[in-house]
Amino acid sequence: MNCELYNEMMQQFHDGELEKAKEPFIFTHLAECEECREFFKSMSFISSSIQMEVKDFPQRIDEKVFGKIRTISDKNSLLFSPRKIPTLVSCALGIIIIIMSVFIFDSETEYKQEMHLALKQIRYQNEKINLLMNTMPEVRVRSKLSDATIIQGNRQVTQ
Amino acid sequence: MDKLSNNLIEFTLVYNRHKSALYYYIYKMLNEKMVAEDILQNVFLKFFQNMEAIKNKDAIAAWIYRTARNEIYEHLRKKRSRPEFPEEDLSYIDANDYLDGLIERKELKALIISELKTMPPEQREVYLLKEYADLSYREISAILEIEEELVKSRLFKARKKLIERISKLI
Repeated sequence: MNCELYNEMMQQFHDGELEKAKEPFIFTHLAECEECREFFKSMSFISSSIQMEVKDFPQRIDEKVFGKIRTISDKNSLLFSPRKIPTLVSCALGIIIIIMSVFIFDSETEYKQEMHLALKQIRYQNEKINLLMNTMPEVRVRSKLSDATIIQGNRQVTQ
Repeated sequence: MDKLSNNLIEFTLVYNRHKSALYYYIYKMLNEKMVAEDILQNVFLKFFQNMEAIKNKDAIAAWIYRTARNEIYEHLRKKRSRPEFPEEDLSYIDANDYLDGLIERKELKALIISELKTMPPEQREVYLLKEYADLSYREISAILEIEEELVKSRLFKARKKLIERISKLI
């Protein structure tokens, strides 16, 4: 294996991403190759310098961020905050839909009962008409006036 | 404990863990302290507002850095410019200092900045996410939406270039 490959393995090791099984190969190579030792040393030195720089964080940012967070939290805790408006509207719509459903169901039941009563009455009337029609004599109607019998039923009754 | 208090505790933990690395990532990408502060603030405010929506807690770092990256590119789009790196930090470095062989960490910092400036942007971004933010290869690949192998290759190239230039002076 050449130094190029070892360099890549060293970087993976430095980043904590190298397989444990490969670690002994690096240490053996580092013991033998001075150039790679220098590479490893420089890499560690640069990283530690960067990490030291990263520790230096401006405190004023903390105040700015937490100040804003506090404002947002206060707004969120209010019942009618702008953020809660969609939720409140959804709840109101839900309640309206439930009330309308109950009302429609109630009306439908009422209509059904009325319809049933009306049908019953029609059926009763129908039966009554049928009964009345059956009690009357048979009536024959002819098309021409010259014909002897126009209304046969009447004659039969008179006879 | 109510929901708001829980959210505040969780937010504080995440904020303290990522604030510094994220700030330096943004700052090194833009070279503008005030803009970096504003972007950092926006990112954490967005995070606070979307905390409950982020179900996978392991993906918080990736979410934060992706949001920061979007803000950085949005800012650059508005400015219509490429990221620049600080020049003023280099002003106090004399060539003789290098020859003396002893470079203070502060000077090394300036040297790193000047070397970062010469790097291709895609290598520089991977290097910043690794060295400053200390993210894993997988996290970087998720943020940049590239393959993990590409992350490694960009990082190794950037690091090698930097070490080759700086090692002579250390």
